[in-house]
Amino acid sequence: MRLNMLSAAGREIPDSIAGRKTVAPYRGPFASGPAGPRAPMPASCSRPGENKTLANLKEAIQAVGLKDGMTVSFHHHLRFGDRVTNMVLDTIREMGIRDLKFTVTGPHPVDDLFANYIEDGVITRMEHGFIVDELGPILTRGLLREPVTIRTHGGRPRAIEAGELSIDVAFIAAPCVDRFGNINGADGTSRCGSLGYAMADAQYARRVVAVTDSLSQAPLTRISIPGTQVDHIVCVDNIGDSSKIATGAIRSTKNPRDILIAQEIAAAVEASGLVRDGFSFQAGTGGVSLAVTQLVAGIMQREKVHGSFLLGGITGSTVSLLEQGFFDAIYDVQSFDLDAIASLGSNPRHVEISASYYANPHNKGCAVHGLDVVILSALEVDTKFNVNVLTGADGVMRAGPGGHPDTAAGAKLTIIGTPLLHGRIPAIVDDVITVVTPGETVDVVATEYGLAVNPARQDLLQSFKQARLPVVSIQELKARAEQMAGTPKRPEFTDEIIGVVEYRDGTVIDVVRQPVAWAGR
Amino acid sequence: MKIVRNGQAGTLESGDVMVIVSPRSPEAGAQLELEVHSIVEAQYGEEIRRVVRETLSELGVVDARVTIQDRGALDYCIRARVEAAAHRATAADGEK
Amino acid sequence: MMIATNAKERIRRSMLFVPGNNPSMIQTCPIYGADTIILDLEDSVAPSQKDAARRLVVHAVRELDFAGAEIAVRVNPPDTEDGKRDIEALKHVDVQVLLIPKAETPEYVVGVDRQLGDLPTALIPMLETPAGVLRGSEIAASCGRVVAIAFGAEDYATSMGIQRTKAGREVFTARCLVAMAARACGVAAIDTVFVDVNDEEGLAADTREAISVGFEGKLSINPRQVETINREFTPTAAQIDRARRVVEAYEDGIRRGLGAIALDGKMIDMPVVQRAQTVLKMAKAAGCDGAGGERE
Repeated sequence: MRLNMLSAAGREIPDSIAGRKTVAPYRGPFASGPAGPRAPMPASCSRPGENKTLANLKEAIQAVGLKDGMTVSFHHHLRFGDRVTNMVLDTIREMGIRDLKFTVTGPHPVDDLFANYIEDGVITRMEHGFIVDELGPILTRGLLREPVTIRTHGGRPRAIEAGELSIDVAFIAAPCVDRFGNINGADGTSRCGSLGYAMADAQYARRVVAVTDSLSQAPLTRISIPGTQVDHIVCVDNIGDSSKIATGAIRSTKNPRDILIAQEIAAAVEASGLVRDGFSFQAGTGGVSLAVTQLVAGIMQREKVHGSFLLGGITGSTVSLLEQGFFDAIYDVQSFDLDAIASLGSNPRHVEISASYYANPHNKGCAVHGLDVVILSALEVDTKFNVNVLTGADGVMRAGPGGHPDTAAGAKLTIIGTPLLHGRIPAIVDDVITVVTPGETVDVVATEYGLAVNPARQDLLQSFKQARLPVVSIQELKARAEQMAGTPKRPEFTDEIIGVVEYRDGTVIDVVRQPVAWAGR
Repeated sequence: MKIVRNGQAGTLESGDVMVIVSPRSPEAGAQLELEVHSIVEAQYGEEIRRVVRETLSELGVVDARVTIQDRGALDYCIRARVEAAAHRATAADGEK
Repeated sequence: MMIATNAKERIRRSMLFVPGNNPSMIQTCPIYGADTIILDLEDSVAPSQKDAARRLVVHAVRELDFAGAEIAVRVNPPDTEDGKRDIEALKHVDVQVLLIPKAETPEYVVGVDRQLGDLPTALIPMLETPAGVLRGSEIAASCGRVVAIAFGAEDYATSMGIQRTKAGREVFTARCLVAMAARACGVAAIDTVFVDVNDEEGLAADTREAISVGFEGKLSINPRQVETINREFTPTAAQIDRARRVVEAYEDGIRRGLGAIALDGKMIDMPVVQRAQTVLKMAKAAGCDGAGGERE
């Protein structure tokens, strides 16, 4: 008999969940520390003159001893251009290896083949950061043997370092490798910039295979993942479609509603008083975020403020702020466009960092804890300021936390920018379907109908009122959304758990249950 | 209001709805045949059907086939598009 | 006929056109802070969609919350079948103002006045041809419903057979005539649209030019223009301060029964007082009427 516990976000969590050793409910953003020391890193033995390069993936899979039931990991730095994952999984299937646990660091393309790996029993369990494309419906059908574990960008390296996510083989798509196995992401034809999310996998996986289309004859001078962690190198024709790895410059929005939201957010940032010398800032790569970044730079110029660092997913527009001298440095865990990739490879102030340094709370420090301001988005926010960035209005997993909970917990000021309605669906609700980022780490919700301030931040409310910003209550926003769109029918759920949402510290903040409409499909 | 030909109104743009009102074969008794496709079916499917039926009833349309392709339109828009399509489907060409 | 008493007093710094057959634009338009929203049934609606747009606008006005903005509709030319149907359909909903396109004669406006009967709807004729501009004062004075006249430079240039330029030298005279006609008849003058939506500086300069010859508001075709237009029509802190002192000195003088009133050694006559009152009205609309925070 399963007993239900309550997470501090008010969600019922069963005391046992298939595939998990322990279930500790979320107790607060900084309430749970590490359970003990880190897991041991693998040790190995090499001899002079050894050659790490193997002829093909099959040889590598044999060499690392991959067997039924093991855990394999991949990274998402090649984004929608990635070819390595399918290449490796196809070889694994051909070799008859089954029942694997599959884990990727972030949003990763899913093609038609993916369902087949699950239906064929090659993949039976997953630990994932982000659900895209057809994966949501696949998981919602309940085809995995265990619920998928959803982790944040900081929570994943934490879980690896704590030994909670134990990886047998990491297959690392490597844009450039030398014969010693040193890897970087800034060179090669399939270059992607930072390899920050792959670093913990390389350090802790029992065996590591670098898959590359660019084997450098000269030793690399710029190293993201050192050869000390790499067992084997496999050369293939092409690790990715470069047109889908990095886009051209990502542009700011021209949508007047989004510009209005961005203007409101920038005014709120200014009114908070945080834009002063030493200012640090993170905004995403969406249109609103890019517009906010430009507007904040305008404020810095006008007020003659010199910033400290820019963080997170980096684009050409953040790079240009570094080059114009607005900030001292960029800490880059993921490079989003060609300008960002070029800058990472050439500008010493543009620094590649690991996901663990980016956002893992169980370190002696992490970059998000030094943030002044972060601008984030949401699928829905509730009147307790809890944010859902995972499940759609139909209860199907469609996105993921990324660094959302990490940056919200770390920054002095966390602003969620969202239109009041996504299409017809209200973005402000009484209770979000899934709590991913707890309301106690969210300060402001910005919509085209005004700014709602978390009642815990009376100081901000005062500053905003003094600056005559359009302040409204979160209840007013919710009422306005429903007045415009009508009250949406919420999905009903079975008791079947299909996803476990881990907070960054490893506690369970919420679970995803199967929508009734999907049961038995 | 008697439906004598196909009347179509609205678009497939986001936030709009395309409505087609057509005559039914005269043999079967008078009734409304409603076909709704919506990107927000799960959240608003019932509300959309209610608004469509209510609008048709106000117009006095009792015998028609109505196809709705909804892209997240709000109720006011659904009403306006159903009205326009129904009027376009009548002999008097729709205008008061 | 009686138009609503506040219709003449109302501030219309920014008047935002919204295409009448576009539901997403209609339902988001209240957020941009335009003083007046103009749901457009004329140029932005294809001839085949006039009926659908008319119904959409009628339902929008009846059912949506426009957050305190004044609601206007630009109807099709009232001498066309579509124009007549527009006016007829809009009689049943709470539209505060109708914009009458391509007004060239006072009779044209009087026709609409009659069609509206007892309704309190106000009118803004648009002067978009040389003929209309030259008869501006007659059109402005044609009936009591007219609260403003608006200049339409694009159609004006077309009928003149001339090219529009950003500097606008070619429409300077026409602008002045429209502003003069409005002043002469005690109604407001509303300036033409500025078509380059990406040129914020150009829009600001064009708005300042309009203000300098006597316009009190400006038409806009893109929500992104509203903020700039409102800002340009907002008096500076120094202007507000000066206006407040003028009005105070005048009221004080009246109280004390003075014949000639002076401020800082200069005479204040009635036109000076009226200008000061307009400045304060604009300041109030912009939300900087002395609640603090605007003085820099």
